[in-house]
Amino acid sequence: MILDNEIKEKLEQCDEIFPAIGIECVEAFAGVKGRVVEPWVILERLPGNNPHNIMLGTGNNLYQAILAISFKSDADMGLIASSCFEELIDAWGEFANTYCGMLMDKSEFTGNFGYLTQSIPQYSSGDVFYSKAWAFCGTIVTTDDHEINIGFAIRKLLV
Amino acid sequence: MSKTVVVVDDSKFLIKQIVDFFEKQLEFQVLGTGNDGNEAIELYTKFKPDLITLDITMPNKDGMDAMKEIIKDFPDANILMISAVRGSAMLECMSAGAKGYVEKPLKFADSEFVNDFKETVSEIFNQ
Repeated sequence: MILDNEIKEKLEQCDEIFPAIGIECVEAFAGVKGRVVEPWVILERLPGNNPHNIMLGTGNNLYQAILAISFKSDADMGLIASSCFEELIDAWGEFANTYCGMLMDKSEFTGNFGYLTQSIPQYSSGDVFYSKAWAFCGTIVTTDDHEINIGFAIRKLLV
Repeated sequence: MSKTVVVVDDSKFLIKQIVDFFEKQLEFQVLGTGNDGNEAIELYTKFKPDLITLDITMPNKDGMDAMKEIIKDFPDANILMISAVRGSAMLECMSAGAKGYVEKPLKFADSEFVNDFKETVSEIFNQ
């Protein structure tokens, strides 16, 4: 499958907002400061090699997209205080919902892709195989060295 | 006598935070909590609280549809939407009868956010 470079160019125009929203969400949900250590990159496919994955599908009549939040370890996922694993999944699902909502507040994003409607977040344990689609990906590192991996992949709707 | 509220959100994690906020910061009595639009209608009909908070994106029946159904039966219902949904959603909710709209993320550690939230609730009861 050959990817549409127009999508990649549109994602490049949103390069500042993806990590910035990640930092804001981490602070709101986990109560800790986050920072970008490595520059975020655009990949041809979302990486799916982390053991804990939260996925949120979004889309409109032109585009379909997926937001993936993933964690390398139980400790990283446990960044948000919770009473049990189910509540932790619930919290990160809400993180994903909020992240997408905040993206829709950014004219750099909506000017390129329009408003995307969100679905209900899902959790998956173990490796995930994503379809090919340009994806803006990176990591937020917290002050206590937890890592939250965030990726947003989008492609034109196949009709 | 303290005011009463029902809190509806598909995230149990957020319900805990919202309940905590209403009980501790606003001294409301929380009569019940629900996870989708159907439960919202059921709880509103049962308790007729002074206020109901609704998320928009929820399974089974979303918050927007639940709001419209509650207002149809209870035109004076005080409904506060609490959602991460942006765009035209806020205007749509307000024009359909919601009395207030709070955008997620809920930054309860941020005093400015907390004051804005309190003001939004206060305005609902002063309309």
